[in-house]
Amino acid sequence: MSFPEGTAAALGLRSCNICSTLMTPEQAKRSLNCRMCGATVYIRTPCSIQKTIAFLITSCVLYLPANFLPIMETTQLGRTLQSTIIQGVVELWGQGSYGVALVIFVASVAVPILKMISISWLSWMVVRKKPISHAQANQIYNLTEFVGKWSMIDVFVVALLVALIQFDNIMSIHPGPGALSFAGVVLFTMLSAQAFDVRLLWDKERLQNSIADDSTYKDSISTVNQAVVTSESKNERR
Amino acid sequence: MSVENQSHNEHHIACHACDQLLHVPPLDFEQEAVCERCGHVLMGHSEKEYSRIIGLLFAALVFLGCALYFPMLGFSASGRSRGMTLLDSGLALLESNETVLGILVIGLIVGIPLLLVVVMLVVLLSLQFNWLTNLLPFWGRIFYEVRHWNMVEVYVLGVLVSLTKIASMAEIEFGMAFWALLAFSVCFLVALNSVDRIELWRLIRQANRR
Repeated sequence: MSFPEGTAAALGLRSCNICSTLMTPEQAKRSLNCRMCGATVYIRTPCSIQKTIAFLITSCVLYLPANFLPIMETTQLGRTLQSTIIQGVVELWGQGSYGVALVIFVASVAVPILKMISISWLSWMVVRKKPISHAQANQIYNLTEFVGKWSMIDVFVVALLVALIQFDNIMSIHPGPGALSFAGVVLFTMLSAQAFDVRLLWDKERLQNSIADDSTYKDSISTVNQAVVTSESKNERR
Repeated sequence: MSVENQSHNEHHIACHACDQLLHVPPLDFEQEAVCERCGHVLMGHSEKEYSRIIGLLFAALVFLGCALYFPMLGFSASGRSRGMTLLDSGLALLESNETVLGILVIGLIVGIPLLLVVVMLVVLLSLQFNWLTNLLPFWGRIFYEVRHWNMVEVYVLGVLVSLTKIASMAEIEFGMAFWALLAFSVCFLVALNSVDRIELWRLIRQANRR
């Protein structure tokens, strides 16, 4: 295997995802568990792209029932009204709560779709042979990770309304079958983003063959560069 | 493996975003270490006074207790009223036969935040007082494996959204638990973000060597 010059992988070192402890090739021969925290340490997440795509397909499949099946059933004076996510947004817009309608639309409709698109784009970037615009790819990944859980808001809204509005036959709200599928969409896109190993994006430049024994590694580690330390204080930045 | 080599490894960190191997010196307060290759923040500002974070975490625990015990929202329409607690939002789903969804909601908004607060308290207290340091890596690992799944802040926004949804239908009262939940999420999130991951593991490593 070959990795870019200067990376831990090029020196045969594995970095623990949990505690950042480095594992030398010799240690890795004995055990793949981190000597600090016990987590399994890999050079790169095995089958990262396959896992990412598998979770992504799961969430795409769930996305259909999540949007076409009702997420909530409102029973008012004997009449039952089923509403999907989009209907909920339209209703809020009609009531004049534009801000809230926008929040729900962005969180439950736009974000999941954008997440799926960006994750598949990132996976495509890794799989294809051409070089990548790193900065852009990194930004997209960070955004995807950050934004992920906010889609869950609609599920919480349903949970709250179900708990709060239970007046038997006058008015009551029940969760619809779409709610569980929607929670599934959110969870599986989150799992998909987590299965994606960002380091793969950076692996395509200045390749160098991986070092497999400790003696060469000890020579090379003395030439490691120093991280950029920002000395500006918070006050100066303002 | 020699002792010298171990200490050599300690200040070397592989960037989490691009795997660049870098030497990160001990940082002063308000300094940041950034990866020279990809710009990823390797080590951020970390609160040095852990007793302050411990205080925040205890406050968060008390607020979470209040949020669980007191009623959160009251709703009255056509002469009938109803109140709900924080846990009710999950329990009501269980009653409507949405078992998976109910457990999921309770787990995400109460289970995981509670676990994170307790684990973080255990870690910081044992660092502070040098208790049971051999268990620290275990707690630290649980903390960082579970961290992604905390959704308290999303839930708080969910409360506000559902209020606007029903505000036109009836009178709504905020209970003690609503304010307690707000206070909890502030304390919790501040505490969560004031500990730097790499700094914390350095301290755990040091504590284990002693």
